[in-house]
Amino acid sequence: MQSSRAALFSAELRKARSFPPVIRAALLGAVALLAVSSFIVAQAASFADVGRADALGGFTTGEVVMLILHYAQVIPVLIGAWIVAQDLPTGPRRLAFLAAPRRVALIGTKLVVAALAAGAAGVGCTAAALVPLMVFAGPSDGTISLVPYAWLISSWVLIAVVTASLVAATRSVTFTVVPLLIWTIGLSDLIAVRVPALSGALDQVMKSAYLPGGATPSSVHLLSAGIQVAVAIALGPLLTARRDVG
Amino acid sequence: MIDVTNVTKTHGSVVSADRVSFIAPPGAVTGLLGPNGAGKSSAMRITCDLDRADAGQATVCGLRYRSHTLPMRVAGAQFEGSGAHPSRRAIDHLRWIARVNHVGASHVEQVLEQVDLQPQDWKRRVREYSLGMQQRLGIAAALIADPQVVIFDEPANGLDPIGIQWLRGLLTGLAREGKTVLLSSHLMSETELVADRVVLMDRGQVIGQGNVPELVREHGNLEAAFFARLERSRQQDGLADGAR
Repeated sequence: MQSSRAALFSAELRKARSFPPVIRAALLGAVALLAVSSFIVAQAASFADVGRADALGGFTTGEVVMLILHYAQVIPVLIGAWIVAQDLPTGPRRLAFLAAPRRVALIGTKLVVAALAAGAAGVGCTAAALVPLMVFAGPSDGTISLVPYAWLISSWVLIAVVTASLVAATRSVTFTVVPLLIWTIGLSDLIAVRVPALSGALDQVMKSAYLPGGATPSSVHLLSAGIQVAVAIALGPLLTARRDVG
Repeated sequence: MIDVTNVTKTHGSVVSADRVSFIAPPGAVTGLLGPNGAGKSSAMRITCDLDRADAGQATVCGLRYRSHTLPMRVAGAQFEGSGAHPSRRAIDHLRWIARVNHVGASHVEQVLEQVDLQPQDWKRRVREYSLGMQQRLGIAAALIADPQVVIFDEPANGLDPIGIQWLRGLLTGLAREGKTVLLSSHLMSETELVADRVVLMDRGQVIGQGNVPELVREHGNLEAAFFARLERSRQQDGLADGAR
């Protein structure tokens, strides 16, 4: 007989796969990235034809595609949020904890599923964004290094897990997703310029590894990011374990 | 068997369960009867380890609900509606519950038939279900692992007269199979028709309990029995407040 943990994992995986918003976020994200990337590659090619190589602000086409992928981190945020949020309404929440009353195990399993789903979406979306580049890019773009993309996908996995855990902790999608997006897509950069210590913030550490002009994070920065992830991951299960399901 | 002993639960200044004690034996339908806010649902949630008791304990088949390895195989419970996310298909909803509880996929279809949901509705999204169909889906989720104990919170809500008649047959049938059936209701006449025993509750307290035939013999019907106990309980509370 399958162990209880394996059964719970398999059930949560099935649950995520059969929940339309999770699938929709990943598929729409991939299609949108394919479209935007195709547009950028086509624009770059037409600018090059008329002798305007600097039309992309001095960035190569590949670097622009990477920037688009960076802003597409809304996808792992949504995936992480939905995997927990499908059980936030009172009815589903009660049933989830009736089926798996060991709360830390249940939330922990959801975080693993969020990581897997975000990883898969990251691979799919990155591939969708790179296809036009690989098919249509000229020889000047050179070979594409996969290392920054590996960092990007790792970042998506961490973002999804942190989001999932924070949604479990706050029991609110809005109060988790909105501040997270405001922080990661703009506010973090604005404040980091004035507060150098913020270069150790999780999103700053991860993006320095994959955005153009960045560098592999130092061990201090990686440790700082790891601590932030660990704290965020602990919050969801711990607060869920202490509260009444209602 | 369900054994609730001296369970107390407060939410801020509101006492939702005050030293609640009762037993729901196997082979019988036990009804928790009382007005809204009497503490029926709180007692059920504590029994299922959804809420934590401040004092006392509740066991299902001798153990806390969460101490069972596969708890839904021991006790199935339904609280208000289907328990499914509206975006999910009914059959997918039951399949994940089946998988957690090591129940074969074929049993999902059996239980959907048992609750009289038509095959053409199995793949519909739950948001397209009527209130009665959602109620049946919730009952299906409670029964999916063929538990020894079933707990239903206001199961007649949303059911039409045919559905209510079907529910009566289901509850009494489960009890005849030797299962422990615990249901909560504020519908006195309906409870009188299905319950073998009742626990009468008001403002978080048990104000009386006994076998339905005996209470009916004594008071004429269950409603009269309830109000007689309610009056006595409130008089005692008044006397106690006066003495203070």
